[in-house]
Amino acid sequence: MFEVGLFAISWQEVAMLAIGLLLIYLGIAKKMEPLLLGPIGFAVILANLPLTGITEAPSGLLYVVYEELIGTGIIPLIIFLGIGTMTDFSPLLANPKTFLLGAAAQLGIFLALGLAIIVGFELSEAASIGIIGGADGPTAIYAATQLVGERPEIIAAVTVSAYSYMALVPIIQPPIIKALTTKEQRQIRMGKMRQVSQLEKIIFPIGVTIIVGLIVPSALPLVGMLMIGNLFQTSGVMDRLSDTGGNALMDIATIMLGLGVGFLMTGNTFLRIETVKILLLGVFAFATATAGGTLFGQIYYKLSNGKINPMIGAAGVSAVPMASRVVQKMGQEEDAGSHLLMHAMGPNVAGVIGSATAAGILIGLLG
Amino acid sequence: MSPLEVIVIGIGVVFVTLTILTLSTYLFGKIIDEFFVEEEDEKEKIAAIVAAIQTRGGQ
Repeated sequence: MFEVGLFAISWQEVAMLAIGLLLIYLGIAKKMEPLLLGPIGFAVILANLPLTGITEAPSGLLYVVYEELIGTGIIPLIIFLGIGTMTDFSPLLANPKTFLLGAAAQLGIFLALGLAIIVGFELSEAASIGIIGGADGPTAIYAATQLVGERPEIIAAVTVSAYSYMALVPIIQPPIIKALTTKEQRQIRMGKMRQVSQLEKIIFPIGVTIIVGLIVPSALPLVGMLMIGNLFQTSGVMDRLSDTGGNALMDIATIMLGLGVGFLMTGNTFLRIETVKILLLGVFAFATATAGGTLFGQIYYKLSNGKINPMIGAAGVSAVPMASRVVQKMGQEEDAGSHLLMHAMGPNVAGVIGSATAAGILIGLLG
Repeated sequence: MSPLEVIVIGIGVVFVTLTILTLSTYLFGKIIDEFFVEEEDEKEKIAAIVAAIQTRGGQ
């Protein structure tokens, strides 16, 4: 029997249509992560128009995209491959000690996990919420699907939180960095970095994959895909694969991600008090991750007798390259001749490995 | 497993893993610099310096 959707729509669906429109507006008008918020916003509209069957098992379009591609973790992993093709690890290779700044910034994950437990979430839910502090969208989605696959409302809120806050890095980070550093410290200029040879760049992704795979096997899907993408780029002889991974494949994966996340954002799953709690915990995770990196930067500042600008620690949250740009901008606000961008990129790319490792540990322990 | 155990193990393993990566990266960097710096790289560097000097304007 033919039914008109207009008479079947609920207030929750109307509210979600408004949220979908808001996401599209933020993507297009405010240029906040447009490649993600655009498809997600549109998919939210698709998912919340009544009587379409688009979200229903077994053959609704959004249902199939989510179940087969997002729920299995395939799409976040393909996106990680694409990120690998676009990541330059040279700043980290030139200054390997910045690896530990990428570790320190993962404190936010575990502090947010603790706070999530206090406010009433179960351990595996709290772990997937904590991963927001890793400031890495694909990692957050992958971890959430592995940890709380049967709780789509948690996955939806974690995903929206992770991507929204990444776009808000330039707003969230500066006050925290300012509070934890002095004006003199922010003015510190850092010297030139050493040249990194092609051979080092080729060995790095292979070595990291083997080492992380041996220590944290459950982190291997994420780290392995990141590193195979990076090998495509650094080898110098796999340009076609690198180009496909970083462009066409990444774009296809991003579209599928948008559609899949839209599937999760129906009125019944998204309009809940838990969503608000997760969004707030996400801010806490991001803020404490920034603080953890900056405070570890202070240790480096002391150990180096003031040669290392502690602000670069804040870039240890992944959010590549936004976090590095924040450090660069703040450095230039204090001293126009300061160039911290490449120095911040070291901890920044280390943060990608750090957050993937942390996610792997949590999946290994709780998944 | 208690939340505290997860937090302690999590932070510990992240630091251990990234410390091992730090040390390995240092070690391989040193070995490669010492024994495998390609002659071509050096030639390219010298060529770049020469080109920069040749194209620099007079003072």
